Amino acid sequence: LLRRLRKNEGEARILVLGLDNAGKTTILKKLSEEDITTITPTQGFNIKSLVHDGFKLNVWDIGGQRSIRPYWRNYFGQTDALVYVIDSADRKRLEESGDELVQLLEEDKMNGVPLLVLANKQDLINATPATEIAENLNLYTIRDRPWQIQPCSAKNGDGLEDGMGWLVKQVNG
Amino acid sequence: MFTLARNLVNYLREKSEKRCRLICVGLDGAGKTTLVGAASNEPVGDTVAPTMGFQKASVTTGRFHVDVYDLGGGKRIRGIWKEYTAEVHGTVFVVDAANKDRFDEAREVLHATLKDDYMSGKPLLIFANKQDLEGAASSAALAEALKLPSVADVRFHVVECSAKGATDPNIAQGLKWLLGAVESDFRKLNKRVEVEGAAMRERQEREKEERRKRAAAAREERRRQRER
Ligand SMILES: Nc1nc2c(ncn2[C@@H]2O[C@H](COP(=O)(O)OP(=O)(O)OP(=O)(O)O)[C@@H](O)[C@H]2O)c(=O)[nH]1
Ligand SMILES: Nc1nc2c(ncn2[C@@H]2O[C@H](COP(=O)(O)OP(=O)(O)OP(=O)(O)O)[C@@H](O)[C@H]2O)c(=O)[nH]1
Ligand SMILES: [Mg+2]
Ligand SMILES: [Mg+2]
Repeated sequence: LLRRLRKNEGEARILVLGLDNAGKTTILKKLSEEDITTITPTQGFNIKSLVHDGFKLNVWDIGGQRSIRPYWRNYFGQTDALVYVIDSADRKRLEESGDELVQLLEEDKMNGVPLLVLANKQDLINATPATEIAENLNLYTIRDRPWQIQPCSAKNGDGLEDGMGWLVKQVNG
Repeated sequence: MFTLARNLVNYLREKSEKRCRLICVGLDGAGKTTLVGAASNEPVGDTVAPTMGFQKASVTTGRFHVDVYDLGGGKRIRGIWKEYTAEVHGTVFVVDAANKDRFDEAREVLHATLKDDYMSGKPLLIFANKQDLEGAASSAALAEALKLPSVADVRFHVVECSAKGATDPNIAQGLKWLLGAVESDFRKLNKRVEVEGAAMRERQEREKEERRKRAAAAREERRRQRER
């Protein structure tokens, strides 16, 4: 019900999660056209308001360090959509990232919440292609919510607007 | 006595209400998301992003509750289709009938999809979409271009439609044909979907579990390296 109410007001709450160093904070700064040269690991969380197509997104960016991850669950309630950010160039941690995502999707409070996976850092030459990441994370096993994978780069901004467009369609539907 | 009556009511309800699943596939830009939106009374408008993933829509037609899986059609996301075929009762294949340059590609993709073991014997509905555009191929011309008559052992039907704009009654008509075909063979088809779908989910669960183990091992390995 709360979800509905907020939707009618033209607002939605978005949760941004992913391993440390994935680029969550950089993505949000880029989307709000702020300087991205001096970003430090997030210890707690940041909140940003983004307006896309006249629709207001209240975005919660939570730190991804392993010691902080147990606190992710504090933010699960009343989320309209989940953005999960992946460092596409960090092949070694792709499985760890996928494992964290699986656990997130199993949370009751996240039931049915639309999922946007951002395959970030596509500007790096060793980046894994987005569709390979989708296969790697077994995204195709998801049936209980819409999901979309979007290649992007927070560094040059590619793909970010497209991802946001999909997100707004989901929460504004 | 009341229990008996209740059982009877439940029995009749179960008999009269059926659930089934369909996948909607086809090349990127064919109009799948637009069409599924129209069919489920949730129109998507004119600015729809290419699907790079999965979404589900519900359609109720007659006695059927239908889940339609709308999958991305882009070259690089098509690989996921095969992960869904085990659990569907039928297929909707959408073609941009006005884009003749891509008929060959559509034909290849369609025939490759029909080779999937899980697809054999399941009914196939083809929408010749974008009839509002000039030069759109008719259903007969499209059937010819897709070389449909040569596909043995497939019940198929081609329907002209226009997914954009006011809801085209041909969309519901087409789905009605497909669900009729599903219904005529429902017990067998449903049994098969249950068995093959369960096997697929089991395999996917196993893969998930294996990955979890690999992730834990990799994490442990990195920890050890740091300590050294
Ligand atoms: N090349 C490249 N580097 C990026 C990109 N996005 C982020 N980075 C870099 O990756 C590092 C981590 O970025 P952050 O935004 O702090 O990552 P985070 O996900 O917020 O990390 P935590 O706050 O620790 O969870 C920074 O050095 C960024 O400059 C990208 O698209 N391309
Ligand atoms: N003129 C016309 N345009 C249509 C029709 N159906 C869809 N379109 C347009 O075709 C484009 C692609 O439509 P989508 O529904 O996104 O196509 P899709 O098959 O879902 O594409 P992918 O998600 O990339 O696989 C959009 O611009 C639609 O508005 C139609 O019947 N007539
Ligand atoms: Mg951060
Ligand atoms: Mg689509």
